[in-house]
Amino acid sequence: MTGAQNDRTVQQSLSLCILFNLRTMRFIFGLQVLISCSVASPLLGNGTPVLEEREPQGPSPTGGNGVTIVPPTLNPTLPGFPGGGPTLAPGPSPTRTLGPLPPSTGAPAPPSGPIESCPGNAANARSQWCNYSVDTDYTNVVPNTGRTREYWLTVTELTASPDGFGKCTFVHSNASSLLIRFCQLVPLLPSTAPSQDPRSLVTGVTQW
Amino acid sequence: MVIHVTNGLTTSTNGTSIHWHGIRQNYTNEYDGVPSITQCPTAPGETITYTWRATQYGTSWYHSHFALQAWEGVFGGLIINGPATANYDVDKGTIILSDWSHETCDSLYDYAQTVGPPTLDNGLINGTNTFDGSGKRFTTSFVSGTSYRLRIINSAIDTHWKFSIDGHTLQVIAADFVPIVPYTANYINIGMGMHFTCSSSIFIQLR
Repeated sequence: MTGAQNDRTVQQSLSLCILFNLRTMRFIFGLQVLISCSVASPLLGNGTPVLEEREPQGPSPTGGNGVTIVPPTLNPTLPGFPGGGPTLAPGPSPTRTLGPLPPSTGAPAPPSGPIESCPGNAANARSQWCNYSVDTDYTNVVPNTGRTREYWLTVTELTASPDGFGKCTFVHSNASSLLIRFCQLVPLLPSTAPSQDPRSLVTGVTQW
Repeated sequence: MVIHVTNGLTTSTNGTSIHWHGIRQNYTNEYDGVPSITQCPTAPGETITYTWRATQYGTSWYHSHFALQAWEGVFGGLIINGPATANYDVDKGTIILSDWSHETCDSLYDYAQTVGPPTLDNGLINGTNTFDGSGKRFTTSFVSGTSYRLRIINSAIDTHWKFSIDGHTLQVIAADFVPIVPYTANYINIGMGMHFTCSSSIFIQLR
């Protein structure tokens, strides 16, 4: 390792902002896709994470078939937290139904609530899913929902420290953003060399 | 699924990608999100659109597949709803278990390659934890007598987690995208990249 690599200088950070298009919220039954941002930790940063609305807002999820998002469940209020912003305080449930996409100007977050499900997937009948069940051969039978879900993710730079250690400062981001740390960002290794495939590494430093 | 991923790493000028972990890419292999294998890294300022069909149900995660970027934080949970092999009252969503180093993964890379995998400084639950009195623990609430579905994900770079809840048992109902015959365990082993779904009957003494 080089000395530069060991510097704890706060330089950059990453965040992954999640943008949702609710235009296609309604669908009849079947699979729902949920992208969660559970990793989020309260980040403070040098920049504001991007949360843009790229598409007109659509209707709210209906009939339990809307896309839901698991928002950051974390604690945004930490010492040094500058200026407030939405508090992602732990609630009775980390899940909420995604209502209309909050404008990037900081409108209130969508209401909290449990992950909704389609009729037939009640708490006492989880083996059912509309016209399908846990006994359906999912290797051969795939519901055709006729719906396309569309999301926007932006990987950006932020500074944060999930456990409060180091010179990093916490930054806050929008509730719908995935918050990432970087106390320091040293040059990443080139990703084009075959040896970059971690599966070929004998030390097993990475995997997936 | 149509997901547009924009690389906003304009300062670091790193490439990026998003891999949809465990998702079957049947005839959509080009959207698997692995630089140098299925795509070129997405350059800063550019956007790539991934298109694939959700044919399975269960819990997984997505993460950058560019170098070690995933373990600097570019990842999140992925849930495709569907039936389950056991009943539960409340879906608590994902609980992502990460390992965390105070030096970046990139700065530890040479050590890992020449000496061996380093033991990292900390573990995170849903992206937070304490260290030497700083930071904050992940908290979530349970109501006595209610059963909860927990979707446990191991996003670690090199840590094998054992997940348990003090004083409670776990009923495991799914592993990766496979619904399974439920079994009860005091704890579950979760290898890196794996994801289990537990339906746990939680009985907590309310204060």
